[in-house]
Amino acid sequence: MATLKNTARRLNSSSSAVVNFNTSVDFTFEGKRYQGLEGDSLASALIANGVKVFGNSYKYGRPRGVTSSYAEEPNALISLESGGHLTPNAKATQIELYDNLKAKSPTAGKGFFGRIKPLMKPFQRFLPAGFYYKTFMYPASLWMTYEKILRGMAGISESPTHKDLESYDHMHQHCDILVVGGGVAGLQAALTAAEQGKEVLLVDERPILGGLAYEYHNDTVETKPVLEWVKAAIRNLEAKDNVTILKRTTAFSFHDNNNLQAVELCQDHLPLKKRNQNTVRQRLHKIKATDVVLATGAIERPIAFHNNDLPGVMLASAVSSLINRFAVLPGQKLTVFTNNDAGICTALDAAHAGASVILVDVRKQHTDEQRQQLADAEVTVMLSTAVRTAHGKKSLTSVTLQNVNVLNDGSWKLKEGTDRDLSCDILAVSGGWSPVVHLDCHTGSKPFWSDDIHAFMPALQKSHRSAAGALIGEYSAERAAISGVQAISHLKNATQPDLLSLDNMLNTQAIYRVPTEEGENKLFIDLQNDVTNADIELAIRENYRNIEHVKRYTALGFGTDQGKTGNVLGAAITAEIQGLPMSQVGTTTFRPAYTPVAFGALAGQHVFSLFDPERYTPMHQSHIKNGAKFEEVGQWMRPWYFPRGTEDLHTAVNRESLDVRKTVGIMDASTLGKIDIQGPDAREFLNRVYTNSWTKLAPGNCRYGLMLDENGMISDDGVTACINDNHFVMTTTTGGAASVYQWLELWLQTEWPELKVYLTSVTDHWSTTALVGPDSRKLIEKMCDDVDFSADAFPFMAWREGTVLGVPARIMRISFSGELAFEINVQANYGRYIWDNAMSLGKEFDITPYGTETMHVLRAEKGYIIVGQDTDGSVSPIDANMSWIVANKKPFSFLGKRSLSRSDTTKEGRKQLVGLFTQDATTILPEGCQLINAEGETAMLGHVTSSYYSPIMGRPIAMAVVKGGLNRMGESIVACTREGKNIPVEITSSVFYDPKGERKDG
Amino acid sequence: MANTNSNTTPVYESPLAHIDTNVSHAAWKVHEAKDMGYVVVRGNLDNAPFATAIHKLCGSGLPERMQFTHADDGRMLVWVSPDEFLHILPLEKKDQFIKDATEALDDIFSAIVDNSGAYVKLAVSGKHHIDVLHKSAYYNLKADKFKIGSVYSTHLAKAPAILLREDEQSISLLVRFSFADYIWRLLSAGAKEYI
Repeated sequence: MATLKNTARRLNSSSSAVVNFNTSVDFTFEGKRYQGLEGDSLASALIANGVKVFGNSYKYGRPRGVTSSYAEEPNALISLESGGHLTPNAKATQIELYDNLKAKSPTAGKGFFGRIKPLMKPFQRFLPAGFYYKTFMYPASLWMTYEKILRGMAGISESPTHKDLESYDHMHQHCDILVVGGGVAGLQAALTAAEQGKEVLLVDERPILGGLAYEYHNDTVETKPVLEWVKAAIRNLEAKDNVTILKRTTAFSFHDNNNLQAVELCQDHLPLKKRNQNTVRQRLHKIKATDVVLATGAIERPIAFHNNDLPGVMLASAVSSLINRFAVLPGQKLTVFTNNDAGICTALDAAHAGASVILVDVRKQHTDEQRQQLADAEVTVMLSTAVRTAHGKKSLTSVTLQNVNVLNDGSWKLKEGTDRDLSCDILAVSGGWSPVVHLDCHTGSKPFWSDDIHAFMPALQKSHRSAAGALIGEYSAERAAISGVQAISHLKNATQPDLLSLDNMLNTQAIYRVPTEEGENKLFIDLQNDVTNADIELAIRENYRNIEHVKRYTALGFGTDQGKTGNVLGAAITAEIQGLPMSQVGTTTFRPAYTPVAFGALAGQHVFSLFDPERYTPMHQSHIKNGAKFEEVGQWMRPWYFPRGTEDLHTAVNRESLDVRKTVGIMDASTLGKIDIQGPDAREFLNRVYTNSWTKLAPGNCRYGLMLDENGMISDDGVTACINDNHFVMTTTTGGAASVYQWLELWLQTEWPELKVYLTSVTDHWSTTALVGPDSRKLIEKMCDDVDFSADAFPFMAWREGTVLGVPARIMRISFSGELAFEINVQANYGRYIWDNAMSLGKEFDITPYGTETMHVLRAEKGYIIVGQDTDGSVSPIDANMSWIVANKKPFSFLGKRSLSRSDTTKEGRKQLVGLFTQDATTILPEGCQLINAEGETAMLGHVTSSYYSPIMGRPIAMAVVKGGLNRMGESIVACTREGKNIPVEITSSVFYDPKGERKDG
Repeated sequence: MANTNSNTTPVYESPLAHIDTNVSHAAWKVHEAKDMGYVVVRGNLDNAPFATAIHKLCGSGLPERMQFTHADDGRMLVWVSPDEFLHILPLEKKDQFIKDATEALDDIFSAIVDNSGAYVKLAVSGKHHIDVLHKSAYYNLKADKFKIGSVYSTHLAKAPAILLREDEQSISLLVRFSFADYIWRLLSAGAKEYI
């Protein structure tokens, strides 16, 4: 960027500076190498090097420099580093300089559209607020093209496209008292609380505690120089075991019940090569505090005048910060334009640093002490004077001054014919101070306007919350410290400070904008969004009068700074134009986050494999060893298929399916939900939650059950075993385990508390190894010798207790494939042992491990439903052709029963579960594809729910829901794919294989 | 019946068997308590026969809300909810306890459920063990707030866990079998900066 004539210089020494004069730091900006000092911000280092222009403005492409001292900065946005370390739109004022830092200006007219933006200056008068809304509405189809161009012209940082090379995490913090803000008030509040034995957490956004004590270091506390007091307070706090201090930590959101979030920049200040890979770049603290003291300070605001955006026009606090904190004098001929006493401090700072200083003050008079100080420092003072306009091409060269008349009622105007020009290279502006009320407002409080101090004040309406310091208008260090003590006593006594009788400590004269002459229309209110005084006037002319509407019409307060410097000006101008008091205009809504927070910090450690828990069965390591491919089912990692050699999914599944039907397969069924049900009313409970009857199920037997929701639609299914008359074990679907458990507890606790039943989730306790196929009996007989596995002694849908390879087990003869099958349930810790040995012992039967995909094929061949795949919350048991499982004669109703007789549930033409055969016997239908009566028709009949190639049948099979399908067996309809292909299909039974169930006995 | 393979000896495996859980650093130590039994005890403490029987069976006083008690032989009775307790005992004593409890409570509305496969118990300690846990635990686990004898049924990040304070130097975690690997990785990632 442009390095104009360097009028800035580094001071040789400074008692308040935080920079290390003996350690230089190399860095680059826009590819050019510079040197700064350790402790510099990027902004201070660049200004010391003569860089004035940091970028071009968002809309008009006007040159812009640093405006403020810290988080409120609207202009100096930086693309920091690149690739996996890129931080977009960082504020140069907040970036701590480190060795080999690489910064770019994202707003410096990059790309074709960015370069032509400044050339559009003659047309800028045609680009008022609302221009884009009005101009680019039509045709709507071109918006994406417009957006690309406008986005390019805007020139804010590009979004990161590389994987973030650093890590983040979260930390939960608990404390008695959280103090937000480490200035004098916050330090004092923390000390007071700590001395009362409270556990204190103090957070502050800056790397060094003390707030603005460095900027205004001539202030005193308890007769000590403020910096001396601050350093002693920090030492005192650091020595206390009950105090935790988090620096570089911004509390950015405040939620109900004193829950706050704060982001700590743990390593952003370190050179990339020195960052510790074992720790995080940023940490999100989730803070739960009993009480909160807000000591968030105040932000200086500007005064609007023509060309107030020129590089070289800065807030007075920014100039004081450069001089006192960073030992940088930003210019040689410095004008201070103020309406309050803070500007006097800056004038004195600059004069003492060696600048030629002129103080332009709209007020009529100073105190004797101020007059003497200014005279001693050889500051030229112009009272009752305002800056009407600034001049310069790339940066400030002069200003036009004009005398003002301030009337007793506070109104004021320029005196005609008194204008004169004044040469200067820096203009420090102080238009008053705005308390940082943001956090207090996050929980719904509206700030109120104080005519006493000309600022919005925090409402402090919530309990267990207090405030101190500049946030409540206590601007002097002495008074801030006192308010810190008071904040703690207010918490103790559940009282609040009296904010309605504050002194105007800074003697602020309320002026917000300087009247202009003809042609002077560049009074910038919001510098980041190029919102001008004229834009606000236009918004109100167009009847956008509410401040929220003004904001949205003009973009006032949008962007990364959220209008921290411009919002109050915008509200004041809105008030002036409409002749309203500020209290009536109010503010826009303050929402989190106070300052931008990296997505990485919000995500924390919950990324990649920690994004969501992966649940493993006891046999997981064996599955990995066997080369399983996994699929995620309700957080569980289930084997999907077990490829051999170069097999793909389909080849492996074809092999696995045939092997199961011909010899024996082995499947891990541990993921099914399992609920232990005990109590004298357990049977009755089952009768109520399942559609079928459980009254006569004898111990040692199992039964399949179907669960309905209140609407009579299938919600889950599974097999339940009767252990004894008071004891059952229910299985649920894998994905439905938690919701079924909650559903059952809900009914038990809220509707049927009279039932004596206890439910216990035992999903994790049991591992389940399923041996499936005609040879499964032979295999299990090799594993267990205390159970008679003959078909007569151990019939289908029975369970037996036995010892499998030395491990106590419950063995269930149930089947989800139609084949002879035994499911071995043992304590999870023995699951892998059973699996591995079954695999070894099963070798002589060519045992085949299989996964969920083969399980799906096998069950579809038998027409067994999968809840959630073949049902979708709109399928009743009758729709699913499962009327056989609905026992309407049970003495007590069951869940969903009443809905089964509703007119809509019983009407003709509901979608019913059927089977489909493609007529060409080769095409596998896509799952989800729509069904119609005939080609050319558009009325949807239903859709395909499951579709596979059946190896045993040598052809594709599908299950589908079809309107009136059960009465349309043998009819031809058409399946339509997403690609527009029409496939003739025949409606058939959904039981494709072994319809008589002859294989289940082996 | 056929001949079974009688040569095999049952192998008991922790859900963390594939991981070296022996971490011993001044900042972060983990000890896995192996071969423990976990039995769920359900019943109404206001029902005097139930309360008396449980007291006798478990060998310790009945725990108050969010507390646990110790028997002289080290067995624990953990409060889980107003009518649910978890009895933690050596694995070899588990079956006898279930048999005794089932018999003793035969006529009392209650439930005794073996859930021994469901948990793994980890004791974490070291200078930064609270910091590591606070990265994923929502409760204040500092010793003066999470006092000896206290129990929290809560979550560590996105997985359920039961936290027990048995002494001032460590915190015990009861982690479900299927979530054990996730929680181990979560805690290990959190401990990385301290070791």
